[in-house]
Amino acid sequence: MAAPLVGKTLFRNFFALSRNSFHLQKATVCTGSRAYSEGGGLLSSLFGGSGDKELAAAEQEALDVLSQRPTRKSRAYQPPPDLQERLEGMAAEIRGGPTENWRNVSVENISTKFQVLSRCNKEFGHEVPNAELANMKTFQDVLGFYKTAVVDNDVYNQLIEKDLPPNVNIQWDAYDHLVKKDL
Amino acid sequence: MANHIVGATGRTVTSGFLKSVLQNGVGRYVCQLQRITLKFCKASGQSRGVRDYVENHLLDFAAVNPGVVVYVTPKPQIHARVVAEYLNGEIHTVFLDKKSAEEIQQHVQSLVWRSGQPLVRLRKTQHTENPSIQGQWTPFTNRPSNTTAALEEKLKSLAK
Repeated sequence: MAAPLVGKTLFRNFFALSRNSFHLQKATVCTGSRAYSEGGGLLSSLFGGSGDKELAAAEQEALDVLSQRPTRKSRAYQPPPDLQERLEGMAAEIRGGPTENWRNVSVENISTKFQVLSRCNKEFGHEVPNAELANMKTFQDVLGFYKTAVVDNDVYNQLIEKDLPPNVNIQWDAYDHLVKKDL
Repeated sequence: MANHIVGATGRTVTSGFLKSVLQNGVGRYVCQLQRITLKFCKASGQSRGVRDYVENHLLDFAAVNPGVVVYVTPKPQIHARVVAEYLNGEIHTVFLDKKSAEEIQQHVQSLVWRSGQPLVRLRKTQHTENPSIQGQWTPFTNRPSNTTAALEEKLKSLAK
């Protein structure tokens, strides 16, 4: 619930309820009241009484703000083809020259680890999560982490957009109107 | 109902004889399953297996059975189920709450193999259109015809 609604007109309209009857349906918003059709949402239809325009307008504003939330950034990651070369280069820089066993180059030193991992994040667009930081001890571990691809778990959208065989019909949003939306 | 005999017993499970749909399989085999509808909840824990099935196994199933139409209709708060409709109009529902994707695969496959005939207690586990190959035995089979011809004629006239 957005800030403008707090303590604003709720109490004033609570006592105006008795004048108007309202019927709550189980899963959907009250649709019978005039206040609902005039705009706004659940609160203004329940407590709006004789159409409190202030409350309805404020609520509509809140709904607009909520609907304009930024979309979630995809966490998908595919390892680049030259991953190994790049990490070898980084290890060489730390060692001071190219080495055979670059994989064993340690990153346990705090500042080394920070430099290496923040650079990897910048270059590959994929961050080592905090829980995994303790497991990054050598360049072998870093390589292992950046080798594993991550599929963003938006499987259902993928499924629908994929070429489905002609005998499959996925009606994914058929009953979305029944889902309760919390304000 | 398979056997519409109402008797003194309160027995509710109907019984019937073994049937095939027009001797399906003797020549061409026609899959009797017309369509399946997977109904489940997108959010509940009990539908987890169905969601897993839809993600990973459903398209393989659809590719193997092109004659079966598959509908996937998620609905909030619904108990997960698969509704199978057969060519003879029979509708069969299997509830899939708390089942794993492998179990669901088995259930769906068993629906594909069914004939759509109602599930009844079988009175006999065999059925044949030709119960007798050489002819049904009568008392006159294997008896000399000169002694029994007249009697046989009489029996035949009585039978009509």
